[in-house]
Amino acid sequence: MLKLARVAVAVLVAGAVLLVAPTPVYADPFGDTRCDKNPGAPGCEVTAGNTGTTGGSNAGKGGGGRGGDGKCRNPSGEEILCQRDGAWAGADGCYYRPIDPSPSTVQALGGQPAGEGGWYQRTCYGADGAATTGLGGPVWIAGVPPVVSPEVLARQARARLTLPKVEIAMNPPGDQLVNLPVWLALDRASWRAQSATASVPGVSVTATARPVRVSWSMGDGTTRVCDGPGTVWRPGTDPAKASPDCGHVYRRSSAGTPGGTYTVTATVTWEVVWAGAGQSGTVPGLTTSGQVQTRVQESQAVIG
Amino acid sequence: MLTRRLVVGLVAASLTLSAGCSSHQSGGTPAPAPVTSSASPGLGPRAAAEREALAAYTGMWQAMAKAGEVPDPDAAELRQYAADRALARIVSVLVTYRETGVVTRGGPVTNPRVTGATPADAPTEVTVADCGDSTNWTKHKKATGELIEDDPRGRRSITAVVKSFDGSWKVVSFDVGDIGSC
Repeated sequence: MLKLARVAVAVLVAGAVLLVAPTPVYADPFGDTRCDKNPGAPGCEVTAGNTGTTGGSNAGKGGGGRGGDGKCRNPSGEEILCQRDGAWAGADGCYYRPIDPSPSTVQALGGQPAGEGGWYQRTCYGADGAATTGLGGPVWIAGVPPVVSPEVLARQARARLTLPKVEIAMNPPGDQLVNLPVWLALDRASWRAQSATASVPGVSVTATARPVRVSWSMGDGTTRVCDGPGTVWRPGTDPAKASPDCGHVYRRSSAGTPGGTYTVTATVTWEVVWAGAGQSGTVPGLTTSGQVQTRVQESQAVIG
Repeated sequence: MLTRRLVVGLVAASLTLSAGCSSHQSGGTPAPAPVTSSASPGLGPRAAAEREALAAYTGMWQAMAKAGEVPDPDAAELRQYAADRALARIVSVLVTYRETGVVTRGGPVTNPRVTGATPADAPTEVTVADCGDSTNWTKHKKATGELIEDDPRGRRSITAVVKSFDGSWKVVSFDVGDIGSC
């Protein structure tokens, strides 16, 4: 009993030391690129190319992890901190924190693997606490998350969100005229909150995406940002009247462009919030977009 | 005849290299910008390939040093000089720096030489050996700028494979040895 308490104190002390110097460091930048201490990392697999999955698929497996007693253990069965520097202990004794690498980073790391899973920053600490057995790095963990926490489940729920297709309702319908107001609107089905849930026994987290704004790239070099889906133009409305909330006026005909049309792109930004296990928070947002081609004609051509 | 031309090419290449070296040693500054293509007329395809491969190798480490100052795993320059496993390793390290609040300052001193080229007459793959020096390439905490002391630096033996992608040379893999290995 006394021995256990002593171990717990030692663990806490180790944790305190880490709070002071949390940066895992063991080499110069040259050395950080080495694979010998980091065999599962992107670019370290013998067969690595620009396809396939990155390493770490076994990262969440092993004898450790959070047991039924709520304590976290490494694969040798020793008790370790459940949380360190904002990351959670996995069954391999390393720590995982969900990250959102950019598309260009994902491409460089070997591409986005198919199927469910998530990107994590993995950090492994050595027996002496401050030192590390490897630099760790970004890894894709397929399937079930390597760690269980509401924040990690929130990422998983977010990945399950199915956002609606962006349906553009530019009005008046058909060709547009120079100097005549265009009403920019999205079909209401494109602008509806969406939810998805991820759970493990005992914990369930729901992520909800809400559309917050739409950025309209008009094809003539101008961009208009609107805080709502816009108002749909109704027949009978004075064509010279501008949209009350989201509109544009073309000043140049699209005749000189390739194909004779402008490409209009509407990009919707979604905020994602989550709630579950008595906690709540936000995760990085999402975007969806849709395109239409529109022909803009000189009005005098029609009048004349 | 062919042999003599090759020797001339190699001498030219090594002259370029030693010029690069002496500037490193005297200034202690990062390697100069890659030689521009306008210098290539007159060089045979092999000498030109070797020169481009060395420029890609040097460019890759300098691009990593530059991206490490931010740190920016998405830096376009990295993708200009590195691909495949080499790019994956460097991007992976830069992501880790960003996620753990680390930036780098300065840069490595490199001094690469060609150890092989295939096919010999018009190479598409060149192997490079180097003794890279990280003495002036330091890691810092991004928040405070504080030097991360626990950071052994020095000379490391490095080998790399550089490939031509439609005439654009990129490092595709590299191996880094221990400090003091050269």
